[in-house]
Amino acid sequence: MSYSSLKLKSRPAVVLDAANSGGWKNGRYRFATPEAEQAWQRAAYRQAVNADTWHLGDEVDDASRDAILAGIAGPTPPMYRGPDGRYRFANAHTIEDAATRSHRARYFAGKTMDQIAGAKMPGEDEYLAAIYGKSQSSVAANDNIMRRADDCAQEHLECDQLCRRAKLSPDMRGIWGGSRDRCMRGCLSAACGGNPVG
Amino acid sequence: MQDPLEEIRSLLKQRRPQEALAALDELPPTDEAELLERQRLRVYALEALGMLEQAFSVRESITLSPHAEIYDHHSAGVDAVRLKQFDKAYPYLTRAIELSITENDSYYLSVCYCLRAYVHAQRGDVPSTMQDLAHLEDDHELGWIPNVPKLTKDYLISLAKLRAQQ
Repeated sequence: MSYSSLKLKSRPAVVLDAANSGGWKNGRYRFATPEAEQAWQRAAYRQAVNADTWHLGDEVDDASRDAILAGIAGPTPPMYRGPDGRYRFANAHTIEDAATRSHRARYFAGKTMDQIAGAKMPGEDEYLAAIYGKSQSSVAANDNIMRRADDCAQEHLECDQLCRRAKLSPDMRGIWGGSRDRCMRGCLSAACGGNPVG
Repeated sequence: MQDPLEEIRSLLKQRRPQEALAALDELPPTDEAELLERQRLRVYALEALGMLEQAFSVRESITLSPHAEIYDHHSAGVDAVRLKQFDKAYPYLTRAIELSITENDSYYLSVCYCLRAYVHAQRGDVPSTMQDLAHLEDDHELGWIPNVPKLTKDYLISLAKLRAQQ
């Protein structure tokens, strides 16, 4: 048995209602409800995939997916199922951040495979609690890891400056739109959180 | 000769954050007000490189300066929320709201109230969530901050109630 299929089989089942989780809109995945988002964060922890960058994984075709799920595919990269229901291979962009990895390592230490493959993965609840700020978890507060380049940073800055000017200028009322949020959404590209074009 | 900070801004506009950081490191010592502006540029460069935790640390240091503005406190709050460090976000957003009221500047106010409502909602604090939401229009929507879901009043109330049950 390959290492990857062993790992997949040993994980607790991922309970994720992909059909009602949310949907893709303007290139971004929007969760339908806070519950759906939380269910995904739990599923992401169980699958050891970054809950924020999961969409950057390499999509798996149906035949490969079936073979992997059946345990007959041979060695493959780790595969996970996103909140959109699609299967993807993990890659450098989908690795969990250092804080989550250290959290996992702490909770997995000394556990048997049976305990890890149990109904609940060790550290799962504490992970969610840490995300939502309800616990003093040991998740590192300031791990200076290099994240995916934030291409929107400069765009945000420029739009913020434009909106600041627009608010103060009677000639730019159309750009201002009545509030900073409306102005920012009008200025930013759809990929950076702005209104869709068309 | 071009102002060195203008040169760095130009590098950032050209999406050359690594070079902007190197240029910032080579600048000679200066007064505190200009140092603050340099630190802001450093934040933009680090964010452009995706180094969000480092950028946030610099943001935090900026807020300690007596020259820090509403923008700085607001941005530290936004960054903390982006990093899901809700406990840290709260004081920055609160300070930004206080300064906005004192200085009669409403530019960042709705974003700060909305994000602070999000922080309260994450803690399951329904009354405080409602209190901050009362400052926003009914159709208020905040959806352009990376790593933060689209925030509407309905979403925040439902989130606060969900967390309160947990």
